Amino acid sequence: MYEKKANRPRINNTVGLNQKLAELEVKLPWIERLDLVNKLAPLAPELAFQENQHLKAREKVLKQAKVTAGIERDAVHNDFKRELLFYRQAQAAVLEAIPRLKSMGIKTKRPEDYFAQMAKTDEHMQKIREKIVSKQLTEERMD
Amino acid sequence: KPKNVAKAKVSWTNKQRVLIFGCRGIGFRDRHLMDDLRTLMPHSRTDSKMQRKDTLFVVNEIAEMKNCNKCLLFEGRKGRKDLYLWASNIARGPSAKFLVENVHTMAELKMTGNCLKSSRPLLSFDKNFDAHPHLAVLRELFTQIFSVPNHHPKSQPFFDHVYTFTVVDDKIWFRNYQILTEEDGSLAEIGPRFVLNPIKVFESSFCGQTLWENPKYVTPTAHRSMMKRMKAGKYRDNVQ
Repeated sequence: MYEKKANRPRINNTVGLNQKLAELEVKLPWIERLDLVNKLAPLAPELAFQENQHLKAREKVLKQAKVTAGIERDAVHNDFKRELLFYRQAQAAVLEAIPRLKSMGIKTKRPEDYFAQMAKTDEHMQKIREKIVSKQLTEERMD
Repeated sequence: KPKNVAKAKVSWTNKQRVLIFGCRGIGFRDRHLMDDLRTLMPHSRTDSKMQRKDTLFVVNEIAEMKNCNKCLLFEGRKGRKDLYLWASNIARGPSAKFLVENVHTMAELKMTGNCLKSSRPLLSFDKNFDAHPHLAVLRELFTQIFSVPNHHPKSQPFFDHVYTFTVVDDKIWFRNYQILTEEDGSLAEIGPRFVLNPIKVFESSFCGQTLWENPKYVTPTAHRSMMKRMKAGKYRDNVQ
């Protein structure tokens, strides 16, 4: 029964979609929206290095586990590569938008003495710092 | 008179308000995700959980009562295992339904970034959003929902984080990064993360004609039963 359903022709009403898009769009200056369409930022050398390190580490693990599928099919390494993709897209957005905002005469950076409520509490950030330190310690012990 | 002009310049004109709320029966992690979005979006409003017996159409009335013109509704199914998200432009539509996968909240310790509670995010979309009409509609909908209006009274005037929307494997992947240095664009992830698997796009808000449906969509229940069958096959081979 499930296969039967999958064969059903799927709706893709492009005319209706385009019409709806035209209806939905609000003409507002970019500063109200802050949206961008980005390609990836060029791969920074330290990111390329990180990727290479991760590749080597995973290859080692796979070898030990006697997995023969190859690194291309390794889910963990592919996850890592995908995250890098998102990171580079965000980077491209920053490198495009910040100069654009500055050219409009808008301050972008928060001054050091400006305090306001943050998304994560200080307690939570303290926990994150502790976790990073403890992770570093265990890594040092391993070496 | 010049005084008035200056005042008009900083006025808050883009009055988007987003109602973020859930139906009964969503899991703890999903509730945290919902709260994360509320923290990040000063232009959001909340309401008490919706009763399951109410039809989805009621949401339009609730949103109108709360003065909201956009809505994000979380819906849990199958004993809190599956999470669905509705994104809608109230009254006139369109609306879209997604299956939410791979949820990670801001509370996780591996996300090391932080940002001001209600600063305005930059929104980054990848090129794929231009390639298909349904993705173009979703892009516009997401922009209007997630972008914090300029000069919103509760917003902060600085730019310290970026949302990315990327289409990979026909799904929309969401990430939120802190901008560490503006010059070289180094970032730290703040969270939350989630993947939206689009199911359908409707003409109106929570109703109306279907404009698009995902040909590759498999319900999570069908997926689970397929996995089960594959596992069962493994043992059947052993016996023979």
